[in-house]
Amino acid sequence: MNDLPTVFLVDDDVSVLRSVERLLRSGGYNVCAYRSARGFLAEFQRPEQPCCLVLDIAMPKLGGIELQDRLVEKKLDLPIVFITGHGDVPTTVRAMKGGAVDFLTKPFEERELLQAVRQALYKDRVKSRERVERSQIMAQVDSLTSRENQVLRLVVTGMLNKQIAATLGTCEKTIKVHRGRVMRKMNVQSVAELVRKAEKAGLFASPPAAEVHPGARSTPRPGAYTPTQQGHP
Amino acid sequence: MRSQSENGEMVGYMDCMSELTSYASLLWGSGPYHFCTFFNRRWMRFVGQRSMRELHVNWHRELHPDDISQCLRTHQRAFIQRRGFYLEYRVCDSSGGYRWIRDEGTPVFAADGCFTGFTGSCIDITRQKEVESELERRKGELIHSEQRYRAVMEDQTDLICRFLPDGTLTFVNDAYCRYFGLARSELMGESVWRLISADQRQEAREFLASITTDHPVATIEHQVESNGQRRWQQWTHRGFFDATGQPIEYQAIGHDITDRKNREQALHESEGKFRAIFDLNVVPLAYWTADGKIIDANDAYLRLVDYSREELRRGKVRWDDMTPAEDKHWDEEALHELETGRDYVTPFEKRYRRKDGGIVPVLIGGALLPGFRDRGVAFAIDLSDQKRLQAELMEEKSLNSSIISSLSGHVAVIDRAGRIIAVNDSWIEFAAKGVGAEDKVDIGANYLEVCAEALRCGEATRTEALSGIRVVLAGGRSQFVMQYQCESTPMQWFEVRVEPLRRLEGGAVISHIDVTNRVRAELEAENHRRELAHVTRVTLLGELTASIAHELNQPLTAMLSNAQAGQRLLKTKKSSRAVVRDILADIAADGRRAGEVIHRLRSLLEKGEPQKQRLSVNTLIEQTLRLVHSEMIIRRITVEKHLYAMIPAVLGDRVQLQQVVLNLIVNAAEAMTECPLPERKLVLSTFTTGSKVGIRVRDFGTGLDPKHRDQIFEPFFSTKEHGMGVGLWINRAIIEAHAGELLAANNDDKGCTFDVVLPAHQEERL
Repeated sequence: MNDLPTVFLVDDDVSVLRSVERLLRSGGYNVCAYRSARGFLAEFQRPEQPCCLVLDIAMPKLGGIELQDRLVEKKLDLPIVFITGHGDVPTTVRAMKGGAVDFLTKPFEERELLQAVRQALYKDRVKSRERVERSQIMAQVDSLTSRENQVLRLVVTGMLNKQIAATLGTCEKTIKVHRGRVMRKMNVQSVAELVRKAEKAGLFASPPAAEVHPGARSTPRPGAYTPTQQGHP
Repeated sequence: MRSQSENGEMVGYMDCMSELTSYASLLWGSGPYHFCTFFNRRWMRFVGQRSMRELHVNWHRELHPDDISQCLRTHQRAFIQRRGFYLEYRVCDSSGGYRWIRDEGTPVFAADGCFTGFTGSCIDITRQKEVESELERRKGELIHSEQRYRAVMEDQTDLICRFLPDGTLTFVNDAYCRYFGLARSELMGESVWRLISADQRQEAREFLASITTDHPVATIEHQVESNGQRRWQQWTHRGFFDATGQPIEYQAIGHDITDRKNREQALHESEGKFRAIFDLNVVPLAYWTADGKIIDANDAYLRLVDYSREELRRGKVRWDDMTPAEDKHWDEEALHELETGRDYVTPFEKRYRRKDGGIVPVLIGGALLPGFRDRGVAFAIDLSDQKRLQAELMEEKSLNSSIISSLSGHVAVIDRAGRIIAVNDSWIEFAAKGVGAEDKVDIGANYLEVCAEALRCGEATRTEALSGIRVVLAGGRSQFVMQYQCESTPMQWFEVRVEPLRRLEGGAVISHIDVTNRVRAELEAENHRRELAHVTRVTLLGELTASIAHELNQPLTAMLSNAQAGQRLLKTKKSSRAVVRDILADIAADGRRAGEVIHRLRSLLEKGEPQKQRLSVNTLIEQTLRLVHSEMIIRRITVEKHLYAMIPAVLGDRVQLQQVVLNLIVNAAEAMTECPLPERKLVLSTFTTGSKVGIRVRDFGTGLDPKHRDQIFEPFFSTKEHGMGVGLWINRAIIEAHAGELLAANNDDKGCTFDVVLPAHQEERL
């Protein structure tokens, strides 16, 4: 269509839908408006440009929170700005825990909405970048042989070559060769860089790594809710 | 012989004869020409004549008038024929009485054969005549007697016959012949046995043999064949015996006893029947004697007095012993009644002391046995039940009358025609005090006519009351109740209630009850209820605050967003007028929308007088759903509507009915709070049955707790933590004020269903 970021808007109230759509357009966004969560789910396709979702909570049939859950299920990483006429605390907390960017209570000021949308789009941009990076890393990881993959997973845990050799039942010299190949294929100069890439690729999230290094759990996972990020509790 | 000189003209020999015969008989003599020439002295004396000449001329004058002609005729003929004659006649003697004379005349011829006259002699045969006459009379009597005897024999209705020892009939009377339908000639010489029924002949023969000289008379009953019928006869036989005691002949007198036998049979049967009636009768019956005995009694009587038949047989059962002292005078009166010549007793009540000591009231009635003055038959009817019923009836009656008179309501009882037949004290008092027409509405007056004066109310009310009473009197309705306002100061309210009188003659009970206090209380309660309904409504809306806020937020949000979008467009100067116009139109629409929300709320929050109007329950539901639209979304409840398009209208207060529907929806929503999301469903439907219109609110929540089912409509009952417990109570009050019903029931699967059923307003459809 154009290069404008896209704001997906879902609200069952036609008046609200039309007015908010207008407001977002006036803010310079491409707007896709839906009267129901199901309609949105059925048609949604991530555009190339950054996008976000402005979502009403109180809707018949499929509500905003449920839609959020569905999106998580489908691993559609879409930043959400909730708008609601009825913002009770439990719902708010749930929405935020689900990764909402903001939670606006109707009626809201244009400023609040546009800022939240901007924030969401920024978040989406970052996320997209991360996604691109991760897919590159994953491509590099995929280029490793299974032995190299094993070596990689053990290297990032901070094991010495000797230890790795012992673990895999081979000699240190062989490990050294594998390690060199891994470093080259992963296009890194240092182990620290390798660890960072492995982390971005989510290798630590995989069970074997987690078992080896339980401390890795303390690292905030992407999309986790941190109250300091938000203006609303 | 002194007379010899007086009869000088007589021939000489005659004198001599005359002398000779003068004492023996009456002698006379005559010449040849018919004249008596001589009567002896005895004649003269006999007839009391003095002179021969006189007698000679007039002798026939002395004859009995009846005999004269015959006498003269005989004499004349004798003189002509000159032959002797014989004559009897009556002559008047010297005493004046007639005496019979036999006169014998003999012609006398001279030696030359010349007839010289007659000589005659007469003998007084009066005595002989008397004897003859007596004999004749006796003979006549005898003949008569024989005729009578014969007639007796022949005319007898009794059958008489005589027969020989071998049975040969020697005599039968007419009755006998008639009886057997045979001629005498056919019977005579016939055997008597042949007439007796074959099966009884032997018995008859044996009977005959039992007749001896010692017992010559005996009676037997047997059957005979008569005119083809078997009939009963009774015969009394008498045997005649010879010197040796052998029977010579039998005489039998008999008569037909078939009728008697039949009567006896009938009597026997009737006695049997009577006995059966006596024994089997449920009415206690007894034979009594005046001296206090019970001779016989049926089982019912024995049961009544608790005696056994054995005791009755031993004479232990005595009516005088069973009568308590204080009741004896009743018996005495009854016996006295019999002594005055009546043969029955007017039934009277008394008591019996049973053998077990119990006292039983009885009704006694009796009659003398025919032919007796000291014994009879009596019935004794147990009056225990009757007495008890009577007592109960009396008690009930006195209870009823005391109830009626204690009623503060004005009660009158009218008959089918409307005539007042009873009133209570309050009625009279009120008539005197309130209406001033006590005599017009007292017993005897026709209520339907005086009603106009008795009911001080409007014409329409009066007409309604009158038609109501008429309908009840005609049996058209089992009750008529009407409330009316009496035109009095201070204002009074009355309730007139007409109930049919449950008796064959019909009629009705009319009561007027002062219900002023009740009506006031009702009005007050109605006010309270309205207040409470209002409070409930406000509270209900309070519960919906979040939802209402949401309802308002939507248009407000839209307005704000639209306005700000417009501002931004105007800033960028890229906007077209068309876009701004759209924006403004939207803003205006949303403003109106917000206004409508407020309006809806205000109508529910207002505290107005209820106004009945024609409503469509479908519209009502739509309007109510608009109010709870957000609430349902927030509660994640799906609403389903099944509204019957042809639903008839109802007459009602919109706000109140909306409150009911709203409350039911909110209750339903609350009941589903704990339900999994897909199950949160509210089904609203409208339906119609007959002349009713229904609204059904069905949820899939927790349902009604069975132990609270009867309480849910009670005030201040709530299962909610902060509930006032008036919602459903008010609902029901509202619906009942609309002459409808509010019903609740658990569903078979989940949740419960509330039905609001209202009467349809006429038959029109919206």
